[in-house]
Amino acid sequence: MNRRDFLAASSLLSLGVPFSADVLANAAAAQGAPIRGGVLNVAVSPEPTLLTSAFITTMNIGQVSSKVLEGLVAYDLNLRPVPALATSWTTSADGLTTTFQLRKNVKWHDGKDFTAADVKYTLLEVWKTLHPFGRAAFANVTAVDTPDPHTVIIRLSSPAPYLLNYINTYGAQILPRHLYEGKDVLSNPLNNAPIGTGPFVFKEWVKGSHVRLERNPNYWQKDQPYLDGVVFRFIPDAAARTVALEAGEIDVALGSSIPLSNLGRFQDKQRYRINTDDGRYLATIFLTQFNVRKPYFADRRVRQALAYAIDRNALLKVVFLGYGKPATGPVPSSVVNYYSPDTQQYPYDIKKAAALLDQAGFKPGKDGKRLRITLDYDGGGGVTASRPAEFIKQSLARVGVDVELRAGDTATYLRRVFTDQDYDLMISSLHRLPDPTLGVQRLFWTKNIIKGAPWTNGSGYSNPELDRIMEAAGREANESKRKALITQWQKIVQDDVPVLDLVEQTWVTVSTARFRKATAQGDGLFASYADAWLTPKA
Amino acid sequence: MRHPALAFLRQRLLQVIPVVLGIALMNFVILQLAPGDVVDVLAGEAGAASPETMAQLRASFGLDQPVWLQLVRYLGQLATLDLGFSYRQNMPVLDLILSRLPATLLLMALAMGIALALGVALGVLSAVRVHRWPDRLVSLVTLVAYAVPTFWLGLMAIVLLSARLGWLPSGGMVDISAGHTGLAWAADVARHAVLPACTLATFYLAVYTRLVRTAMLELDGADFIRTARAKGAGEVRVTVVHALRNALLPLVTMAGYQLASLLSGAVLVESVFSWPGLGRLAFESVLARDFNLLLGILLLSSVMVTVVNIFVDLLYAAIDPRVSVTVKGATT
Amino acid sequence: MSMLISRLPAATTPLAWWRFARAYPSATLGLVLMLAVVLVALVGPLIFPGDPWDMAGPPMLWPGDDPGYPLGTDFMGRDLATGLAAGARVSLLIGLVSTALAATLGITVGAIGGYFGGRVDAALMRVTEVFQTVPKFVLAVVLVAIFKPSVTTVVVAIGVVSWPATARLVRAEFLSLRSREFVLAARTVGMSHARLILTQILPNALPPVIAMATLTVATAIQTEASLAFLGLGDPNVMSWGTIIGGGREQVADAWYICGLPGLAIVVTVLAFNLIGDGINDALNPHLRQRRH
Repeated sequence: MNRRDFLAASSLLSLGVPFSADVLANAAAAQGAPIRGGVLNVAVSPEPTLLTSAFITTMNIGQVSSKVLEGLVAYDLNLRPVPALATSWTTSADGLTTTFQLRKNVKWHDGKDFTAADVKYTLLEVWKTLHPFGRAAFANVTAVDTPDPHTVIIRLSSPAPYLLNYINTYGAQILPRHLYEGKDVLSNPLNNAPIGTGPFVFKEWVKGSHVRLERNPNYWQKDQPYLDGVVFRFIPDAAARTVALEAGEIDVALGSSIPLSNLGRFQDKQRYRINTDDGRYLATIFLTQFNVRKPYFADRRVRQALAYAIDRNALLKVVFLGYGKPATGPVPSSVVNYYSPDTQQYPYDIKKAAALLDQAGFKPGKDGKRLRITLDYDGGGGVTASRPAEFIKQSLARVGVDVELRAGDTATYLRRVFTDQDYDLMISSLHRLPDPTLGVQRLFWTKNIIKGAPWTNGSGYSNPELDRIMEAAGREANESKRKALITQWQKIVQDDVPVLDLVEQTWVTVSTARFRKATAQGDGLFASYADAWLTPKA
Repeated sequence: MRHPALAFLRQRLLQVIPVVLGIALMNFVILQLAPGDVVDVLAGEAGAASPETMAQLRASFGLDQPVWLQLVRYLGQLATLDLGFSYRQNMPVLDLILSRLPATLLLMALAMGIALALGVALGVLSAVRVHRWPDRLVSLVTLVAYAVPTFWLGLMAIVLLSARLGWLPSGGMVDISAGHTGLAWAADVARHAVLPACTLATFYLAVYTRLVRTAMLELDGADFIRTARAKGAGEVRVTVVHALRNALLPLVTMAGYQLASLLSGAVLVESVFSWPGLGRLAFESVLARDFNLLLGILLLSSVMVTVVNIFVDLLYAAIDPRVSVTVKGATT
Repeated sequence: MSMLISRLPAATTPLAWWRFARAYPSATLGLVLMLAVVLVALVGPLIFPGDPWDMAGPPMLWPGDDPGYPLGTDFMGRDLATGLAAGARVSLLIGLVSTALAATLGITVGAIGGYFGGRVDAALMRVTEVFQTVPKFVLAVVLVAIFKPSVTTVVVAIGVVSWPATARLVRAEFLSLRSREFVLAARTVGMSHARLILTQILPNALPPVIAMATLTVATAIQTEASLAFLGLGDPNVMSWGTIIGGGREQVADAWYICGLPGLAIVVTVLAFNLIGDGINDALNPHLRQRRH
């Protein structure tokens, strides 16, 4: 299997080594010169419900809307910001002011000018009020000044070091003020037929089938886009997507829409490319969460025992087919700036697990079972959603813990975990994002135990010391002090393990070798494709 | 004196109403019993939501009102043919259904057409060559076709005809990037429809073949062909046609009554072949707790089924003089 | 029922069975196949012991590649032979229990409606119509998806969508039987309605119901497989449909993961269909004579 080669090449970052400029330049040169023309067929799954990401974080919506609507920056492979609609930015020494210089001569698809007023409007009326993470990311914003049409000054009540990590088209998508102001944002029909500044103009959305975008002749980057258009195909059946890619009916399959088990068919580098960097920005980790309200899980030893009982390497190999990395804590290793490996680890050790359970008072009964628990997972995720659950069930059975799997569809699952709070174990994949304050704090913060709201602190874990550290880290403008706080944070979480972070997932994009892109992005799933092209068929 | 058929028609149409009410009621009961609602789904997909926003959404969708009030409001809307709004898809339900209806209708019509045409052909063949090898072969094929799970057949068809041989496309309705129009578009759709329609038709083909064969033999027994041949060449044709006519009525009746199950089969076929129709939409609406949409689809299908049933009853009465359409007798 | 029994050979000598087989070839085939499936369900787990969920072997092994895994393994390295044997039990059980539920519901509704007639019948007919007009599989999906997918929910869902056909049949039978002399006689003697229905009419109405029941089992097994395929089966229990569903993504290369359990379903459904047809044929002897 050539998987190892791919993994090795793309895993430099996961070793904590940023990509060097040379490596990046060489990779770009290998692409060849851009060619004009052609329509790109992209498979996205499942079909999005809306075509704007300004107030919603669903991945598939971002994959489509990012070609039409843009953000202030994009992120390179090292997750550093790269200019998009903002050309430069500075932060004041006290961390309370961030100034953005906006690109000039940018027009919306309806011909109006893009100005700072659009940014101000979207920030105050959409990101800060409606966006699930924007509410946290922009919470400290007290005012937005626009001294001229191309300057935005954001004033904060206290430093927000995570802000610059969340302003691409996925986290902070800019909407046209002249079309949204004064109306209800959520029900604006433009959400289904967006008008943006991006390289592609929305043409049609045939629900159940496709979205068609056409080249924007007035794009702010002269000579771009190279493609004539992009068509997003919605193929609900996973095997059908594989067949379609092989048959050339689609050119790119984004976000692991090709099942990992089928990737073996695309190993021929002459014909296909497998990209494992596209989803770097999301930094997703697959986790198992304990409901610490339950008496048996209130005891740390039980949680630690189960941590020892699950073989992360085997899980990675069997369920994720090697695409990813075993996780060592709540902050993924790809977030180089804050990741710390110096935390308590739980290598696979059945004996230790059994010993801990004995200590905690859970000795095997007559039938060999120590404990009977349930595991909830989102069955609405398709037939393969049960695989990690099955693996965990088998693993825990070996240490005498009997697990009953409970599938429900998404609504049932969310209700059970976050509203009824009646569960033992649950599994999910969560984006950690490039900044722990944005993506990790929500799992452990006492203030985020909110009954009825999904994706909050569902375990019920509450540690005042950890709260204090996380809140301090959210305010700390000094980078090294912040890093120290976050290291503390990871240590505490790994000691207490209210959540078992198991596998750092890789989002795999499979494309025909004819698909080329001038620069590789860390948020490639949300790339605008302005610099993408198709080489002609042989 | 009022024509009895008209009175029958009126009574049957009136009977649609309790059925519609029943379905609406059933939908609401299930809605109340189901854990989680569409706001949970929306919030879950959005990535996060505060309880205040969720409460706001619920209020705007009218989900926080007492059940009976929601039911009354919905039924009132129905009376004006307003099927409501799909909060998940952000579109009025009627528009959504109408946009996907043609695809499913096409699939169902093609499947039914193939099943009927081939069913008659094979049924006649086995009846005419009864107990000889064509009959045995057809019987064997029919038996297997009846037993094969539809979705599995679809999957195997994709493997063989699409992935291995590359003869037919693996899914979807048209080749979008080709941008065909007019006749080329129709040909493209036809090409995409072959596998799903044939897959869906298989089960019904088996049913109709057996039905035609049984009905033809029922009349005169297995010797009817031999007797006809003895009488002369022209007699064979006449006899076959006569026997076939005996089969047509139960065939049409059966086909009409199986309309509801066609839609069920469409759910699986559309899922396997990514066909953009109502079946798949119904399945997705269940997972999304989009009950307005689900109810819209169920109601539409039940109205369709009832209308077809009435039509079949009338046809039956018109063709077969022995059957009289009276207000009382037609309810069985 | 008595008609069928009278046709069975009086002595169970091999010759007598051979004559039976010749007289009813397809029904015999059906019985043979069903016995084979039941055998697999009972004995299979003994021949292929172990937990079918155990990720024991190397993944995606083709049948015949490794004698330790005669039918190959699936995506997670689970042995298919063990899975098929375990699945036989599950699929059969679900098929039989849900049919029993459907039959009970159907007989109850049909008997009451057919016997009492009038407004009771009309009301029950409306209810039956509602369940018949709703696309059955969609309703089953709704019920299972919304309540937790488990063996219980699946059985109840299949039972709930399958009863109308039986109800209609029983009702028709009751309608024709209730005006017969023996019923009038029993009423004259003062027999209660309940006793009349249960002891007099029902036994005579039963034969076609049994034929329909075998066909319902066939459909139930298919429905269960379809639900499992869509991901709505019980995650703790492995049925044939579960295996097909799990192998759906690999259908392009490892198609045997979908193929083998599908074949098992075909054989089982075929068996029940043949048996049901056999019973129907036995009940309608005049049709048989006509055909010969």
